[in-house]
Amino acid sequence: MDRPKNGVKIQNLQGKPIQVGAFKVIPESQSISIHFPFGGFVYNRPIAVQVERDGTLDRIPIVDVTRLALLGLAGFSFFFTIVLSMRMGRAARPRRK
Amino acid sequence: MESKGGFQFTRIKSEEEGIALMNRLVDVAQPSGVFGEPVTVGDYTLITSSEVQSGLGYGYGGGYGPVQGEKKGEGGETAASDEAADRMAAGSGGGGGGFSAARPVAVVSIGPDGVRVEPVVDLTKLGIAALTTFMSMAFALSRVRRHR
Repeated sequence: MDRPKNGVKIQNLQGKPIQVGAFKVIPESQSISIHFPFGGFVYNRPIAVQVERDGTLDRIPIVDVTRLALLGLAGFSFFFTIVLSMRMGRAARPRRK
Repeated sequence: MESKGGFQFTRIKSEEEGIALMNRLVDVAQPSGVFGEPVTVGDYTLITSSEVQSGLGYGYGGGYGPVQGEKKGEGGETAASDEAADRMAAGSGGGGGGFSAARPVAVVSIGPDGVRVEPVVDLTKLGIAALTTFMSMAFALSRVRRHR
């Protein structure tokens, strides 16, 4: 039995096409795999679906709204911390006459 | 596989079993691990898509050595038995642990009006994160005002 290769691997994969009526939907996902000699970690997320109809191919991206909102919150709190520390530093500095 | 308190335990008896477990982790990295099976409700077919993360670690070891026998002498002193020292004993063991988590991201809806992707917003997660952020910001702001 082959052991998975050690290291970090990022890959975009396409799943099996799903035929529903006139639509052919092909799911796409992105996986990040980290393999150690005695363990590993895999993170996999959907990125888009390709829709084929009457010979035309459209790609609809899948947006993770929850993750975007969390990143926005993290960015806002980081910005707030920077502004607050700058203001505290200015207040602590002795004023020139 | 044993199940106890919501956790699942697997005995890893050899390296082969450990590698088999690792290969099951590779299966999680496939698109089939993210997109669910299509479900048809009326005119619509729905496919759920989730963010999946999974990790595991395992280890095993073994050893061997001479059997340590004891023989009491007349004066109470101990001495290794020659007979026992000729014999060898071996032992081995292993174990592992892991986790897996999934969160729905969106639902792909295929209907008469076309294909649409409806996002799934985790309001509980966002609410807890927002509450924690704003409370810590208010706490920091109140401390700054007090020091002025």
